[in-house]
Amino acid sequence: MEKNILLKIQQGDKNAFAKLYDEYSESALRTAMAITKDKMYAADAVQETFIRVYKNIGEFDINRTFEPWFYRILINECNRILSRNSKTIPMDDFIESGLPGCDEDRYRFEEYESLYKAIEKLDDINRIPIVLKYLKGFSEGEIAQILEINLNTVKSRLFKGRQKLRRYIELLEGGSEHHG
Amino acid sequence: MDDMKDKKIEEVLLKGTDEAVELKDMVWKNIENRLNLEERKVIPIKRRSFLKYGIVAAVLVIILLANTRYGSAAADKIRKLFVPNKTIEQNLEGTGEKTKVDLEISPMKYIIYLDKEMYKMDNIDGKDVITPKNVAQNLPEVSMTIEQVLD
Repeated sequence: MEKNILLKIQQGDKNAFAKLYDEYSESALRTAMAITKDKMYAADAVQETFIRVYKNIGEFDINRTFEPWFYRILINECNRILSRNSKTIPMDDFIESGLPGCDEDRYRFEEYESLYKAIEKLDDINRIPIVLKYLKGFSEGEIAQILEINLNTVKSRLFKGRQKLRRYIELLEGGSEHHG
Repeated sequence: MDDMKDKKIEEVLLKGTDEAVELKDMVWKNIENRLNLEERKVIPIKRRSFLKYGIVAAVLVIILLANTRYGSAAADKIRKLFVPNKTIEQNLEGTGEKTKVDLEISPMKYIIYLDKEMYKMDNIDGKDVITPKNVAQNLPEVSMTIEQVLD
């Protein structure tokens, strides 16, 4: 199915391109937002990604898997937008330095919102693999391919990212119990 | 336990990025506009290139190459046969396109119909150089030079 669509796009079929957009845009928007932390930046990144895909689809080897290629473009676009807007937020080791505010403040946040913020505060090198794994369901091998890094590096970054998030979830759960 | 935490991370990421999905239609419209605009920018250049060569080819049939008194007189006579401007219709890439063209007399004593909206003709070092007024991005420069060569 995907191969047929890609072949049609290579032949200039705009309806096929619209189908591809329909199929990929939602995940792409979510991923871009999780990476850029801003929905308008995400929209820009996705827009540029699809335009690049349309223009460069002729160079894509139809026998390869499309998704890693697509997501590599998307992540490059996200990084380009972040760098253009200097919106890179330095990691201040959110988890290790403790949660923001005092214990009482901690539980004012909605659990989901807090955890999402914790994900946002993860360092890019941990956050992007986490986003690709949990939002898109990519395997570690696919993430290595997309980010063009070593498989062991992906494993290590995922491990550290997950470790920080799990500890945070535990803190939240502990907090809920105290307040339950 | 771990699965439960993984599930929670998934849920949180989905929930936290819900608002981006609302931009799906807007982004698609932007993509369509950008691609249509870029095509509009590119196609006319391509078409006009055909047009340019088509017009020149037709005019070359009656072109007066020698810069002689006979040539000048003949060019003037021929010019009188032609209207100063006209609208021509050409079938370009399967689509009929109407174009307004103006009669130009070259310092080299020949006449040519030129689409002045899209092209300009300059005499540079004794040669006529026709170039498009609008240059499409990412395309090489296109021009046509007409010169007289002595036998």
